[in-house]
Amino acid sequence: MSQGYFNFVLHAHLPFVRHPMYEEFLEEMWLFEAISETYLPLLRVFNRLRDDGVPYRITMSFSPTLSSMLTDELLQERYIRHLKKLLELSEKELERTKSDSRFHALAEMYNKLLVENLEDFVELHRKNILKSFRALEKEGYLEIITTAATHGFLPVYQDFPETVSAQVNTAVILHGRIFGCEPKGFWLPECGYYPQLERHLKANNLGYFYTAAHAVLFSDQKPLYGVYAPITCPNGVVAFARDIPSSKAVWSADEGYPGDYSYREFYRDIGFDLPLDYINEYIHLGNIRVNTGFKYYAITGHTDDKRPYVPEEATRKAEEHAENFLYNRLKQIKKLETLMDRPPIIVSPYDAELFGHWWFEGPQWIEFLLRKIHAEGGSLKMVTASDYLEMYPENQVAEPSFSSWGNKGYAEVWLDGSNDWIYRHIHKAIERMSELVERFPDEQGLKRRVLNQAAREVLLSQASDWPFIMKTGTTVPYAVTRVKEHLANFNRIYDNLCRNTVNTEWLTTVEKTNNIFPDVDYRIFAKS
Amino acid sequence: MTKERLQRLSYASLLDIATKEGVSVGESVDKESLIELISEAMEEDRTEREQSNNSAMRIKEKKYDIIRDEEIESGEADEYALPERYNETRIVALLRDPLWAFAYWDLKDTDVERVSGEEESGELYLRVCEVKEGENRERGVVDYFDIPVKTTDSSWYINLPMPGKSYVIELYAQIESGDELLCRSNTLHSPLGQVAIEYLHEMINRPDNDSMVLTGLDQYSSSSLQENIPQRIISMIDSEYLQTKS
Repeated sequence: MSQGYFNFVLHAHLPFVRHPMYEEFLEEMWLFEAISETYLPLLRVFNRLRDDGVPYRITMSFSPTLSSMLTDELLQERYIRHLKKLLELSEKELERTKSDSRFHALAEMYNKLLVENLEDFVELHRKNILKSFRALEKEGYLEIITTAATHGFLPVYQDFPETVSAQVNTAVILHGRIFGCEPKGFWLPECGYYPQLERHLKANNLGYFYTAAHAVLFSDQKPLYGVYAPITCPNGVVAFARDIPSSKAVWSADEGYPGDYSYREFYRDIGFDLPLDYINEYIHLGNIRVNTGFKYYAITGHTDDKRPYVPEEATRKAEEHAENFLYNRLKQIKKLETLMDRPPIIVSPYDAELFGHWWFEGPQWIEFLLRKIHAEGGSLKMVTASDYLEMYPENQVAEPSFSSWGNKGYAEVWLDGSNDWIYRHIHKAIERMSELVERFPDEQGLKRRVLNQAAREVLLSQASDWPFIMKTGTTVPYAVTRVKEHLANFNRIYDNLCRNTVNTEWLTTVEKTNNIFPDVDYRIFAKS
Repeated sequence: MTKERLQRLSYASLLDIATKEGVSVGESVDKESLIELISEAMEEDRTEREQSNNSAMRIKEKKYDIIRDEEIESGEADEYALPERYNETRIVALLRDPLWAFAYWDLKDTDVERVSGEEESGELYLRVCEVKEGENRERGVVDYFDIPVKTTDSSWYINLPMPGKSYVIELYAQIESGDELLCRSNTLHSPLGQVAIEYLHEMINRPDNDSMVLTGLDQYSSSSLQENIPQRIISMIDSEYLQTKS
């Protein structure tokens, strides 16, 4: 019998950013960078392991906004255009670095990576990488779950149950449309939980969710197995808590693996380092410097004098760190097994984009880790939450505590002096949306289109990304604009419906721009 | 913002930015020195912001990190005007953590006129009521305190006296005929913010016991752990505070 279980969870999410009215749009690069640096490398790792006969079980959550973008033709074409542009830059880089062997080898590496990404994306995945993730799920390597429709931080909506219900229900429907099956579990955006949120999950046939460690540690009863077994909420939905030591090994900027001096330095990018007249065709509008992905230096230490990046050295470190991670988990379960009458489950959830985008060597680390877990012989068995619940359907019943994985463990990131102004307007929009459902309980045709768009705009205004960005200070004007835009679109629809008018041309434009959730039914905002 | 971008701005624009950044500059400062001062202030700001985030949030931030000219205004936000008020008398409360709530409110024009028409007018206050679970407000108030607010205020962060209690926030106007309740918020249920009491006793009495191992936090120490006060377990979980035991 295995001594312990390991539930490795990758949460993939980006907000819905799609601007067809612009030839190119800066924030669409969030998606392009994530595809190039995280999702495609992860698929390569997963496929390689499968082809080598290495068994593994990983849980992945794809947010509905990300899934929508990954299956959107316009963004798929734009991604290809983006890759081709970078390939052009890589040719220039090969030329520029030809007299410096250290940098030239790196320029070759980037050229090869770009060629590989383009080939994989177009030929292997036929532009839809979600189909490839789904194939891995069907083969038993992954379990794909969902999260709130626009990744709203749900605790700030707890007194607006119709919107929490809409966030969950819309997500489940979209999951079915994209993956062709029902999700079994749910990723709470930012691990944001409030008591009784689970009733919305149960209503949508979702069996489990993930929480911060203190959601379970601070539950209304002593959790008998601490965070090393799930607890069952009074309504039967199960909560799995994040393990702190395994999170810290990877997350921590100082002590965590990604901070190792041999790894690639995120901040030294030629988009910022090279003269403007060389790089201007590859940055935003020719004069706003952006990351290009061409990074030639290693972290080196707390110094501006960085040494060139040596991929082989970084790969050795990734292997060493995978070994260390496994060693510590084995040590952890050995200690725990004496305290429990069932094997402990270590739940390790991470933002997927950490691997590859921020921590360039992250996908390699995952590959090493999964190979080592397999080679070790089974003391640490990879499972998903569903696998675990099949083996252990009976768990202690307790109510988790209000919590999140944000600063200080509650809502302070998403409810702060920098972003609190949005809630007055979003809450009002939710109430008005419910009012519209009451006034128009069963509309068809044009009016139904209008009402469905209103529902989309309300949901889009709730993305947790916007208050997060307002708080943390990156691209704040964009986040402000997005919240205002969705609310203004909603208000315009609301006012028009009050006057019984519809501007068809405007509606069509908005529908084409914010074309997410094609199956949305505005009546999800009905008050129960 | 990159120095290069600052270079492209006029001296007057740089002075504006310096003011916004709280940089005090002498009258005779030249453009280069001004750029240097602004860059330093912005870097300090960035570091401070980053340090206020825990590891999970710092990593998340990187997803959106493609430019370093954060202050670029698209100007588009102005296209989408939102109403300042909705002309209704209501108050909504949100829980931020076990000890802090946020309340926002609005008043109907008629209420504003009525209140401000009073001779000794304009006085508003928030009444923060601790209420008994499951009781209506009239019968259920255990205790309360008041916070004076101005008629120009529309939101407030409220320090709750105790975690693990339920609260309702009321907005009152002081008018000639007496204090008038204008509106009442939803009920907030503040979490305990600590482990269940039986668990707490185990941890306090025997900090290295099995219960601590089962939290996954036994291998860490922190200033709060030194005191062995598991109520403050949250600061240990918020991983910036964690140090592996030597």
